[in-house]
Amino acid sequence: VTTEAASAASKLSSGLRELAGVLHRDHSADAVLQLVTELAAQTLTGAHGVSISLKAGGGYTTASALPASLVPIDESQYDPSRGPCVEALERNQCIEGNLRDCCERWPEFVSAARAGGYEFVMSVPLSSDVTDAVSGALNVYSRDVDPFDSEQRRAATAFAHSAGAALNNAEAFKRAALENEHLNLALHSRGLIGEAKGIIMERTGCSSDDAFDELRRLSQSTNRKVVVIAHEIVQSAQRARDDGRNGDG
Amino acid sequence: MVSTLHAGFLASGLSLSQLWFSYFGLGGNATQLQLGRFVSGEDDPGAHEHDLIAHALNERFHDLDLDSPVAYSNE
Repeated sequence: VTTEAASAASKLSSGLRELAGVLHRDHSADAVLQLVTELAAQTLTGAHGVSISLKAGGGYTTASALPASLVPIDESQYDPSRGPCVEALERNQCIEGNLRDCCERWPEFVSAARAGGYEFVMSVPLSSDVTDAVSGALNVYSRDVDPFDSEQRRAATAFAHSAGAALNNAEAFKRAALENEHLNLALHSRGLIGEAKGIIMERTGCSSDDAFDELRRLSQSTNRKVVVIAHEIVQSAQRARDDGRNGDG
Repeated sequence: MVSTLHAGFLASGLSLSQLWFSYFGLGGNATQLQLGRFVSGEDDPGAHEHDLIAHALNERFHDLDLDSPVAYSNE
């Protein structure tokens, strides 16, 4: 093992270790993708630019790019739906090419990438188990014509798979946070409605089910949500209690 | 106009989880699994639970500026 290879392996290992930590501590998808891009750019020998493209809802976006000048280069393939990243996502496999040989295959992309000084690109799908809603690819650009050996290809694939796991983690966290928000709203609504039902039951001597029916009828007749009616009843009872206390005082 | 919980659920465009949050927020006590059986017609929810589910669906239709098409138990 040469010193150079050992150094590359060490860089890769430390990059992947750092990424694994992200799975547990950082849940923002944007932050994760930014970090993956930075780590891949620092780690992959021969890489002069790295970006991550995402496909969601039928459209592509570049989620992160280093340098930022890669964004319009990535975008040059989205509209014509023709380029290495588009192919990598369509075929779910690593796609790479020396740009001089790909003028007919990806005319818009090759023109933009070569104008930016790049000669080679490799696009690796993030991982096969990324969420159904989002898929993505790690794009590695080089200014050299034959920059990557099998070791670098394996490293890029490892990065892409780790990025996919990080993205999955971020998406799962986002879903959990959203569910938590929905649950909090539901608990708040349930609390208000329960309180309003108690007030109605106290006033009328009816059952809990009948109290809800009363709320529902009020909701239907006024075209307002049950929780809004409940909130008004609770507030009104609170005001009456406060007035009573003030009157007593 | 749809009359059953099943038809209302299908027309609402809600996922079972979204419907459960609305239903639970109104005071419903069934689990998401039980709710799934109620809206599929596998189990009878009883009048009160039926009305809670129907109202959760009708509030959804109201949000979409549509009529309240799901019938309550006494209709």
